[in-house]
Amino acid sequence: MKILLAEDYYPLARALKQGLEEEGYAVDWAKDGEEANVKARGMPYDVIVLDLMLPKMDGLSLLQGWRKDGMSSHVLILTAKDQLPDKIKGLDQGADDYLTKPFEMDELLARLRALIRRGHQVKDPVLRIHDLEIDSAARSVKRSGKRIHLTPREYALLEFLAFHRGKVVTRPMIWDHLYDEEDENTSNVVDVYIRYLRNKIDKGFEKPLILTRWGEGYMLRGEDDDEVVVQPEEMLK
Amino acid sequence: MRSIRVRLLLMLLFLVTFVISGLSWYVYEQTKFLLQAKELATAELLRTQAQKQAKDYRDEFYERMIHQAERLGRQVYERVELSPVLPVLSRLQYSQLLTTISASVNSPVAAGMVHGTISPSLTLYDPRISFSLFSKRTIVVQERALDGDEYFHIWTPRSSIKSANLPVDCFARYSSREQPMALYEPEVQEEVLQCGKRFCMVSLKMPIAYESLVTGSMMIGRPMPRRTSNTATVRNPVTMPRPNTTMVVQIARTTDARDKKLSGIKEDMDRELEALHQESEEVRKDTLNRLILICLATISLSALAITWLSRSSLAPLVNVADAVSNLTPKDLRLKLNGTELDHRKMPEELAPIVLRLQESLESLENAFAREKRATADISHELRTPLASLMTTMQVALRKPRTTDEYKSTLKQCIETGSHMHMLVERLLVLSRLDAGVDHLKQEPVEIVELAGQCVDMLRPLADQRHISVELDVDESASVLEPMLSDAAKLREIMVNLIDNAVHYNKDNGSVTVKVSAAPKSVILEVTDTGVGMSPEIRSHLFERFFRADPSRQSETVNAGLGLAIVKGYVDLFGGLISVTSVPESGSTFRLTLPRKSAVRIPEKV
Repeated sequence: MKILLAEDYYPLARALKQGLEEEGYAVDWAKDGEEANVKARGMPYDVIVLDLMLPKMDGLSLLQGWRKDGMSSHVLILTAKDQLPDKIKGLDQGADDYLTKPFEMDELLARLRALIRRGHQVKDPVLRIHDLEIDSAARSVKRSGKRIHLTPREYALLEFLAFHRGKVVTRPMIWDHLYDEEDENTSNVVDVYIRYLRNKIDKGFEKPLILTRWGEGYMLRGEDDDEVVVQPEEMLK
Repeated sequence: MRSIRVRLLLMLLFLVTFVISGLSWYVYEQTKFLLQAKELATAELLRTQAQKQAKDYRDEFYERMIHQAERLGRQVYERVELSPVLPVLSRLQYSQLLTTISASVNSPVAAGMVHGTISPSLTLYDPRISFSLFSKRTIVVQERALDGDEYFHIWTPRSSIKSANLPVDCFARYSSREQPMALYEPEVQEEVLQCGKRFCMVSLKMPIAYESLVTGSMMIGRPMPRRTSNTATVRNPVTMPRPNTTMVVQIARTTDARDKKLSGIKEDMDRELEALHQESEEVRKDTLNRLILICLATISLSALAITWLSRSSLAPLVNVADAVSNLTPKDLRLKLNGTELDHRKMPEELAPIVLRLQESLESLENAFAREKRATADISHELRTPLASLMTTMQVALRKPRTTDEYKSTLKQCIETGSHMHMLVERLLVLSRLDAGVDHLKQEPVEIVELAGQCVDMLRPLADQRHISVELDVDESASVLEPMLSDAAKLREIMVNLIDNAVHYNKDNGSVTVKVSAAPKSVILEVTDTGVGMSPEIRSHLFERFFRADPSRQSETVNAGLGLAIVKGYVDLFGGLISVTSVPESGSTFRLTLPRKSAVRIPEKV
């Protein structure tokens, strides 16, 4: 899941970026309004965390512009303005959530998760695909009742696939959502992570869940995908 | 009594009651006085009339008695029948006849005509002869003309005739009377007799008339009817001595009728006086009642009028009080029924109060708004670093980290903390300036040297952006003596100004700090070649939390408070600060500080 962090106070941005990345989010940082505008329009972020008092362009007018131009990214306003009129104004301009500084990191993360679920029209925090259970709140994964340990990035990949289950997810899509602007784009990094994930999810189970579509990308097996022929990864190469 | 209206009302009511009562009392007293005067005058008149009436009546009573006496007296005459002795006398040819009549009236006097037949003894005194002869004498009272309660007593020298039923002791006095009476001068006496009745008695001395048998004429009084008989036979009448005899006629009368009449007059008078008194009493009471009614009516009407007046004249005050009591901390405007009070429509006594109140409320409202904005600003300024601090620590604690990672986190925290510290310090400086507890130190300051220090302090910052910072000391300032001032605050001012000049400068620009001296002041000018500012920005420049560029650069510590502090300090110094600026080419801050020489002061002392 990719997040744009528009925050001009560097120490806060630095800490937030670190905290979010450690949770498996890909975080891009914009230090002023103009930069935030350019980045938000150039990339489909899952959530934009927006400060209101930004240099050069303030948060509210940014938001107004984005909504006017039909951008549908979720926007969470994170600001020191804690007065009710400010909150109402922010939400009425098209924000999806409003959080005031100072805040609890856990609350911010929970709100981000809720926004992401909402983005994929999911209400149940536990995603179930066949015998695989992904608890997006606890960020834990079980298959056939057995707990599987994943790194944040592996989890993020699995969750991304799970949100799009039954649909093919291309490599650039995965790249865009799981890696931030500073990560180096090497051609096979996605494939490497897929392989890690398969080792943990599918290995030892009869029915593989992570499917490969030749020339397109990957998909997580949907409810009616039983007839799909399993192509071993080795054959794809 | 705490209500002005009630107080005013009572006061006016009291005043009106007092005035009206006073007037009424005066009118009443006047009326009473006039009534009394009228009563007195009328009573006096009545009394006089009664007295006159009584006197007239009394006089009439006496007059009548005197008249009766006189009338009676006139009817009394002495008839002397000398016929038996006349021939003797004529024979003896006595030219003079001395007569002494001593007689007593021996007949009872019938009611009516008195025929006192007297048996006189006539004594002739002659040296030659001595004899006595008798003649007949008669006292005649011709008429009966007395009323029932009148009595008479006629004293003649030889006899007395009196009314038959005369009370015993009436008229008894005359006989024992010593003083002789004058002729025709009536005397009036009144006394209570032994019988218990009151009598009035009139005594009148009169001559007795004689009927001359010779001439047939009366000697006194009116002529008697001529008697032709008897006298014709006397040829040589003897000249009768003229008897010079008097009598006293007394008329007595009981005073009952008179006294009754007199007391009737008196009673009449008393009755009239009483009626008069009653009448004036009634008038007085009537007047009093009317006055009381008028008083009550007037006072009630006045009370109504006063109530209305006090209500209407106090209405604006009540309105203001209502408006004031309707004030809420959220709405500090004086409103009545939703519309704001207009002090121009207020009574002139109230207008300044309302105006001043409105001004005060307005400034209070502004102060509230400023306070609110400042609180919001402060909380905003503090919240962001606080959020940063907490986030940094929370992120650090989410999972185990290496020692180096913890160290770097702690360093970040300290950085943020010191930023907050500086911010808080600046807020404290401002609140001390607001509270007026900050005072200037008085220490010798070398202004040029201080400016140099400040320039040197900020040069490294300027160097990063290749901005040159220069100190330009004017000739006038180069010989400046140390002045008495507060070095720390001066340094704060200059550092802020130079920092701003560097901060808002363009890369490769320049900053010039110029120091010059005027006769009584020092002038500091900080000129940059930066972005400059619009008039709009310039008007807000010294407001708190105002930034020309709302960017919150973490490396600046001013947080939009720097120039606010500069302004506060300059005000404290009693100096002036002004800004000239051309957008896109630079600004100049010109600071004028009053100069007090540090050297001259000891000389004065």
